[in-house]
Amino acid sequence: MNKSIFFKNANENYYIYDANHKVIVNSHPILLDYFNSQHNKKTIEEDLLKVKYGITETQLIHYRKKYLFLKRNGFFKKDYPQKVILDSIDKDTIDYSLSNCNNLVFQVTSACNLNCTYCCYGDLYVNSPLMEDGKMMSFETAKKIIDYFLPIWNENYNNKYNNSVLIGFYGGEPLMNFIVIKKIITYLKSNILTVKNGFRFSMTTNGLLLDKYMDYIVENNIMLLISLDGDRENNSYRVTKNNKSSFDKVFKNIKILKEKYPVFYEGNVSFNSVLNNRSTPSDVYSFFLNELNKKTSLNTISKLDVKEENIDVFRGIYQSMNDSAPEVKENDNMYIRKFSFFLYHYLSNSYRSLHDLLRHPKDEVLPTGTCLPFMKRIFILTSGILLPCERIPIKDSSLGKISEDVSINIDLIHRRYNNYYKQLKQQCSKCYMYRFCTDCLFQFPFKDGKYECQHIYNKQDIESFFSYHLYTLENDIKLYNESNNIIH
Amino acid sequence: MEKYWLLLESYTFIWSNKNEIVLYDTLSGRGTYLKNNMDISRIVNQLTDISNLYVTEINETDLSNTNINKFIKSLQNRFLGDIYPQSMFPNRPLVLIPKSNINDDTDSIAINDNNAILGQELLKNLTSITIHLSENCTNNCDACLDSWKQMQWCVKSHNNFDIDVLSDTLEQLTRSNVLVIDYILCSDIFENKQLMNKYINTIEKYKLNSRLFFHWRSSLKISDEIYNNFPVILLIDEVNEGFIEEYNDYLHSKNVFNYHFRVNSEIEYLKTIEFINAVGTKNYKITPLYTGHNQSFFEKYVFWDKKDILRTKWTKKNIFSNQHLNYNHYGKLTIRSNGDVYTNLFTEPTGNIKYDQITTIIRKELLTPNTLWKRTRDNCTPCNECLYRYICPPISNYEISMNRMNLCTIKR
Repeated sequence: MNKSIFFKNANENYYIYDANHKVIVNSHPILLDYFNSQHNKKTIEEDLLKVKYGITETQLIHYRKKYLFLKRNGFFKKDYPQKVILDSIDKDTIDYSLSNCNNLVFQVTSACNLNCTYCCYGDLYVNSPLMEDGKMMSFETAKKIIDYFLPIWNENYNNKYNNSVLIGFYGGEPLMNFIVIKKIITYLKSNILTVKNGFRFSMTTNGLLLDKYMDYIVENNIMLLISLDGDRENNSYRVTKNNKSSFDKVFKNIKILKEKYPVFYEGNVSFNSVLNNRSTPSDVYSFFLNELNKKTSLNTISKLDVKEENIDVFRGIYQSMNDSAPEVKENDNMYIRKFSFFLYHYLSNSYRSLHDLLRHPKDEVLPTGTCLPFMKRIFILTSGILLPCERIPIKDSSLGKISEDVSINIDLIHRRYNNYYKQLKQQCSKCYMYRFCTDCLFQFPFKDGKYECQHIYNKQDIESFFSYHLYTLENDIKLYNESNNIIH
Repeated sequence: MEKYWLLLESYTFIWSNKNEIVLYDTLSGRGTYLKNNMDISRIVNQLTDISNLYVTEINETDLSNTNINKFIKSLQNRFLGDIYPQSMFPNRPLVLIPKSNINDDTDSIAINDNNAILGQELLKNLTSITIHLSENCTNNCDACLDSWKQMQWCVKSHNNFDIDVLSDTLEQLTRSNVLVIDYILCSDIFENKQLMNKYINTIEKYKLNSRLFFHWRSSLKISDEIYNNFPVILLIDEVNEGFIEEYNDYLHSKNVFNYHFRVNSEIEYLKTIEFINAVGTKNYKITPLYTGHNQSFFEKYVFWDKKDILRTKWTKKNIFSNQHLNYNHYGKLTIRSNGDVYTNLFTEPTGNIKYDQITTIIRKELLTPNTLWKRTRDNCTPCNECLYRYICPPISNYEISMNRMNLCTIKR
């Protein structure tokens, strides 16, 4: 593996990406000849090169010097993933993450008043052993974890000055356990955070019970993410337990909210839609813009863990999405974000904070892009099991449990994660993407006692990856400036 | 007629005005100065137009223009840019230009009052802290009250740092990324062994990367335990007979981490160099002191000329840093023995460690406009009009002491 990657894109332009400098340099293809000759320890026939590229002696000398200039300045060095990829983290790192965890998401209920065909907790998918259907979280369970975190949020170890603590409500349909939501908020508000800005609340809801609880939601300034797939037809996989359309009721509730609380609606409400075979991006975007004066975030139906016997059903309703289609680009910034992500991770132009300009990080990475435990949030199941996030409800990802007390065993988490890292280091060492991986190990198939990555990038894969990005940016120069300015 | 793509490399920075062009290659760390003229200016303007992203089209006529041809040759010879014939490369190439994007840019945060972003891990902003642990001193050194503002040097008052406040301060720093804590101790601390032991025990308890600074006159009083357990930096205000004698009799056998010499004249500087060469030590640092009367010494030994600037190595990240912050000051706190915390030694304290959390002080520094941590050469005259301002070291305490921002010969 080499730290420099040559690639050509569909516009016939040549580039070199160098991981050492995190820079993409424009190149003449002759530099690849020089590189290959050095790499294969073969003498280069420069006269042949002149003929091959139709260049003069002066030009040849220039390119030879340019190759040597780049080499002298750190290009074309060998990469040693085995040395760079760590196979362990220390316990203090996990402890630090725990001390700085400012986001709890409560699955207040696993019950739902809808029976969406594509629901990832529904019949279409292999069910997670941790997601128990129809359970309600008790206030006592929620109170225990809040009491566990209150002193942590207030102590000096918590580095996040004045930042709010974010409390999320998730389901099932969280409003089906409104009593506990209300008790949690009342309890939190009775506790003054000494070094923080207080609590902020968010909720993901299907909107069916919104009419009943909207006054309380507005009063407590809860950020709402409402799931709605578009108009009646687009939304027709979101059905009630009696297999009736949920559209009319949800749409009516949203309209009431919009009219009764216009400022709240403007600032606190966002939408999430699932693309399916009964919708197109244009339909969905137009519906939201015309009917609700909003944009929505479009997603596709999850491909993970579909039951073998339901593959045909899945294929029937699944609709792929082209994020570069004009209507998607216009309505959703995910396309810009994709390039922003590319520029952020692959070039040394973007930094999270001013202080990052002063640091010289070690050339070390952990296997995969898995979040460190507690780094982003804690997702608390109705049963009291603590998970790193709502997307990975599997046993091996558990970070602890609430029973009599909150039990978080840092030693156990530390051992478990280091075990995963040791397993995955071997796989990551073969991957050209190892420095920039964003995959979560818990999303990998578990085979023979190991998580197995399905996306190991070989040389051709990484060349294609770079080619695609540079080709797209070449054809849309504005995109570079837009992507390079985005906040992550 | 053959057409070409002329481009600047993605690792090249360019700044120009009507008279000159400064280019800087961040791979090799070398700057280039070229004279500008109307012909070149047209090309440079095209290259630097943000919508062109360092790429412009030229033709044979352009290449036959002597000025443009010479300019392009200069770019190619120094690997600052290149040309590609459109016959072989028909499609416009892309240069991923060196343009920075800082998510938590505190200026925009202050404007938008979006303080939540800034809340993310404020302590990570800290790089180093200087704590004046003991300021009780019976010595009468020259320039005692000036030095500490220009360099890490002892300063005299009648205070010693409160031991509980020290514990609380270090407790706050345990989860920070602070690289080093420098403790400066005046000589009288050795008369109070009990307090000295408490300081040492507290510093050792927190296991943060620490260094101890003493004036050389205290060197005999420093225990072997301290010499062995901490990097000890000795402050030498003059290489005089007393110091040379002490070095020969005692110091040369001690585990001194570094000798920090302060000089304020050419004679002192040469005497210091002579001593260093004679004893053969490599562990030293020489720092000039501006006294208000020695500008000629500074002009000779400290001021930069164009060549100094162009041959100084900077990475792309360094240049971004010079565009956004002042790395001489950013992330640095100085805490006096009375608890006063300074982010700028020439202004009032930003807070007091007895009453203010460190995060409060950092936040105040970051959100107050034009504070020293973020004072770049864009914020001062005449540097703000200078093409070299991003490849010049940021404003230091010398500039503030001399009340002159450009310690160089480029623009007077």
